[in-house]
Amino acid sequence: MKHELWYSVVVRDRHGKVVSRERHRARSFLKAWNQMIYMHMSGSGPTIKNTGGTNVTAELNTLDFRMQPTPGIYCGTGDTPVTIEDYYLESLAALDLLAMTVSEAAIADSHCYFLVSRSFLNTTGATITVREVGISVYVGKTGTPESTTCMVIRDVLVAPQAIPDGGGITVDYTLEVVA
Amino acid sequence: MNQPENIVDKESVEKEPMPQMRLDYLVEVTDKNGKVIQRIAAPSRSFVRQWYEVMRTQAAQAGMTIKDTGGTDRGVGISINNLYAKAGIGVTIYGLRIGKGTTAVTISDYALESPIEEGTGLDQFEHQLTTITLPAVVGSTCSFTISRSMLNSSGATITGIKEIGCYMRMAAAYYGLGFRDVLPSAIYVPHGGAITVTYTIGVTV
Repeated sequence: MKHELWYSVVVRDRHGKVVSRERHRARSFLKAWNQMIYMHMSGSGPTIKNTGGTNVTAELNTLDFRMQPTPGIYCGTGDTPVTIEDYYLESLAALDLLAMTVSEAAIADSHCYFLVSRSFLNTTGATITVREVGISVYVGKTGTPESTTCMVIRDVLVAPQAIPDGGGITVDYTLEVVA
Repeated sequence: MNQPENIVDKESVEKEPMPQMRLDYLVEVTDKNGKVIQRIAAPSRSFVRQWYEVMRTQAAQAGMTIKDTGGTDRGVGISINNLYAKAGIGVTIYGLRIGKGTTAVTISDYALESPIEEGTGLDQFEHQLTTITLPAVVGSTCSFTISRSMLNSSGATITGIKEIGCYMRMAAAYYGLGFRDVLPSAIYVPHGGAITVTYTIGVTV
């Protein structure tokens, strides 16, 4: 059985025509993902670095792992290779965020998976080149407010994707296990 | 529908993926003097659907129907209890378990095939505290371990141990199978001895 993570990106121009797409196996669960798994399996909150780079004491919360409606998938323009300690995108892209969706968990033959997706629009008046994508989730913490966000997945795209003005990009992540 | 003329399709088909999140297990048997007499270490092949369904419940913040370890469909919602597996002494409704089942793992497994019960009677083990280490980073990997020992005080050797797995809490009052493995060979534990199962859960970039 294989535990897999895939991402795909589809770029469209202002008329909705697909101009580029890419699908690859992601390599990118980050430290915070495993820290959150640990927290839920053990009931103990470790110190986790949030998306602002601040260390917080995590605490069990029903919001843990939340991806929709926020925070979810983000795009960036950085291309520094992923490291296990990454806590956010290198450089957030100035794209308009559309709604996050998380699909139902599905079984297909020997696969069990769910899909996480978000589209973005470029209304800046210029082309934006997306080079990195990632997923942030909510995590509970001590103190006020009672939750924060941390990045649990980050990938640098195999090929930079140029988003023309008026166009958009859709990013999908598939989390699955394959028998 | 016409294919776009200038589409750049970079889809890759990689035959042998590098797992980004992986499980490995270690099974050790000791005799009554604490001497290791059997040891199996291998990559696990065995997250099952309930694990993903619980993760999806949290990610979407929306409950769904998930099968419990008794084979009953349960409505499971977001909860601080989801995935919890740190069972106390003698607790077998969640935490690491061992069994005698030999059927290969499938994605829809919802329990061990033939779990061994708690106790000191025939074919029973005394389940000890489940321990979980803090995640640690070594190189490009972040990992932690979950471990549990089970003592054989039955008065006889227990043979035919062939499966291991992890039961987890789901919401307030349900329990589900998170992962399961069938061992490559059967294990026996002499009276006075113990079996310790350790899973390592890691992510690597």
